[in-house]
Amino acid sequence: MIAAWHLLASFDMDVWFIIWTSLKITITAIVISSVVAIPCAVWLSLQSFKGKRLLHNSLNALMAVPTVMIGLILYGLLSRQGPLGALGLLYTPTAIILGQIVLVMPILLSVTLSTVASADRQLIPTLKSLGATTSQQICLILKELNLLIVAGIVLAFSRAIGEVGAAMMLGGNIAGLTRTMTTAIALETGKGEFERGLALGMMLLLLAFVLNGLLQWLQGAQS
Amino acid sequence: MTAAYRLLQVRFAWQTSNIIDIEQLSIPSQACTVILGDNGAGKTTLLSLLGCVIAPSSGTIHYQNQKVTNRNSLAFRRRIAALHQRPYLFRGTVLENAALALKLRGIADSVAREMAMQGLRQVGLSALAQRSARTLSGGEAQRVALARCLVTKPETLLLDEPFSHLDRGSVEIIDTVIRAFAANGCTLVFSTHDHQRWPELADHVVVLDAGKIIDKVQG
Repeated sequence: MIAAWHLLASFDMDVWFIIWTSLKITITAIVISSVVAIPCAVWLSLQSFKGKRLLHNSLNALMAVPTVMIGLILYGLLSRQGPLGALGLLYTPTAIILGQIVLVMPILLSVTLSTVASADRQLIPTLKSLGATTSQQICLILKELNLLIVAGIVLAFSRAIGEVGAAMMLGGNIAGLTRTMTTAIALETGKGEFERGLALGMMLLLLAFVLNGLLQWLQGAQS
Repeated sequence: MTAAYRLLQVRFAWQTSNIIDIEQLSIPSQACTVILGDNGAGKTTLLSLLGCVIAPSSGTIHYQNQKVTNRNSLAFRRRIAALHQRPYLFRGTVLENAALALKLRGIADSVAREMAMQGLRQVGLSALAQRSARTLSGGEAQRVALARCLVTKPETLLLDEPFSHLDRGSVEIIDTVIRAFAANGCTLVFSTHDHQRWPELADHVVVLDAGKIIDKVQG
């Protein structure tokens, strides 16, 4: 434990580079997913169509898909023989970003749909009767529910940063390129380098606590 | 008298039941129509249909001789204002709330604020302009919502039980402002379950029960 602390406190280049790689990959995936999924979910909330409930239930089901399954499917698509093999993305940070996007997209869609559905019943009728266009409605809903939507982003971030299956399969755990905190913990522990794994684990745990605290605060602040 | 609204075989269904089932209804322009009905009669849903906020499951609604469709409903929504039973005020100040509908129409911020201030003066709330809208009482919130409706100078005002759960002071102010609006020759559609409310102002009364019109009375 002391050795693990020492690795973090002495700013061990290898350990901090892995932490930086993890954060860089996950932040990129979350930003891309949020920009696409959140306005899309609010737009869906404004529509009334048959199968809306089925769509929401399907998104909830997709949230439970194991990450290794996501890794496996994307591996098939990105591998040299796969339909997207020519892009040469396998074993690159981009592949892990893609995996995390697929992982968090249903979370962001589902959480945003639930957030809008549980908002004040008068919000959408008021926006419509005030003469807001669809894009104005989306912007104002996002503004009104911003803290809860950020809470959804925090939830998605915690899921993505702690994911190991897809990162291992798509990134290949290459030192200095695709080695993330979770894949490094698996590798270092396997090698018997327990203190290095523990240092990364402590950082992951710290992130989980901070994110959870932030999530609780955001939910409390909105209500 | 020309018709502001013409409804023909309008049905609005939710899951398996018809909330609104109207064979034919004409609501005159520049007059006050009261929709009378008990709780759950479908008054709010009918007003949402008239406000082009929801579309009927079947049938047609004409507003000012034009058929309302998904494509043109926004243009109609901008000519109609609706005051809901329980108003929703957005985060921000009272003035920002009163100016919102104007800003959504692309009116410059300074002009919108000036017009909103006039609206707040009408409802006696100009002193609270800079206060957070979420800290207002029910009556004050309803008055801000009314100011927000009136600043856009709508040709039709839809009122969904606007006096429910309000104190006497707020009722009097809202009552005065709405009567002034009606006196200017605008179309007013007012829903209530209170048979005593506004009998002297109503030009027409439509009695609604279980989504169907059971009686029409000429005032």
